[in-house]
Amino acid sequence: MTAPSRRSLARYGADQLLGGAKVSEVAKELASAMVASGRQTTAALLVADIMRELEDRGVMARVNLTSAKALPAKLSQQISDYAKRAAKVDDVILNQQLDPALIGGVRIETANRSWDFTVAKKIDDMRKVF
Amino acid sequence: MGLNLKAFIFQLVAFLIVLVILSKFVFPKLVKTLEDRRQTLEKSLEQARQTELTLASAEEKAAKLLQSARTQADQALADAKLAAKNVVAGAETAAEKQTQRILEEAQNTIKDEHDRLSGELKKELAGLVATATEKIIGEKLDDPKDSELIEKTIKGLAK
Repeated sequence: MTAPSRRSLARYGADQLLGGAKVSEVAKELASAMVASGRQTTAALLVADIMRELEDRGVMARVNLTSAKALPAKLSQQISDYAKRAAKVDDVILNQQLDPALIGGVRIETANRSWDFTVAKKIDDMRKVF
Repeated sequence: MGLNLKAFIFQLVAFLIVLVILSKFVFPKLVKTLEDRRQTLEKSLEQARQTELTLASAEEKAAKLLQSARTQADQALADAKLAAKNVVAGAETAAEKQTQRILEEAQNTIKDEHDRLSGELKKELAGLVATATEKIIGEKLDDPKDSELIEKTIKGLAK
């Protein structure tokens, strides 16, 4: 019998979570499947697949917010609201991180989409035009 | 004076005898000899005439051959001159074409080198401008301005 694909495991995990199953139980099941098929090293990818599945279904999205400087809470909320509308999900989980190399602006990433409004990107685009 | 009949008759007979002898034995041979000589002379004359005719014909043939040879020699000389002229013209054309080709190759090389340097210069310049821009913006862009920039962007997208 062939091992289930990561995509089908992700779908199963999303189904279970949306069905109200406990996160720990779902995690155990998925972990067993991964170990049984010798794919324990790709667990992080499976989590990303599940997030992608949840986003596709419009349930929720994990938003990685990267900026050069710390953002005020109000602005973070505005960005979160924007990401919710843009990804067409009911809820978002915001994850903020700093990267001074971006110089200014913000980069917003979900499982399926990304928006780069950083100064570094603009300068890079300018460099490419030359 | 009188005629000695006996002597006359005797001389007459002698004459007749001599005549008969001559006629029988000498004259035919003499005539034959003379006839032979005449014929020989005639033959010689005829041969001489023939020889003269042959000589004239041979001279005429020789003249014609000489004329023909002269004509051929002139033609061969003209052909050789023309061939030499064509060879020179051909060599000049080939040299001209090669010169043209070398010039074109040199021009292409210069153009390629110019384009390459131009591209490298552009890249270098873009890098310098980008680095300078990064530095300036990094120094000038404080937190409030950065937040303002982000807010404007998000509001612009929301519209």
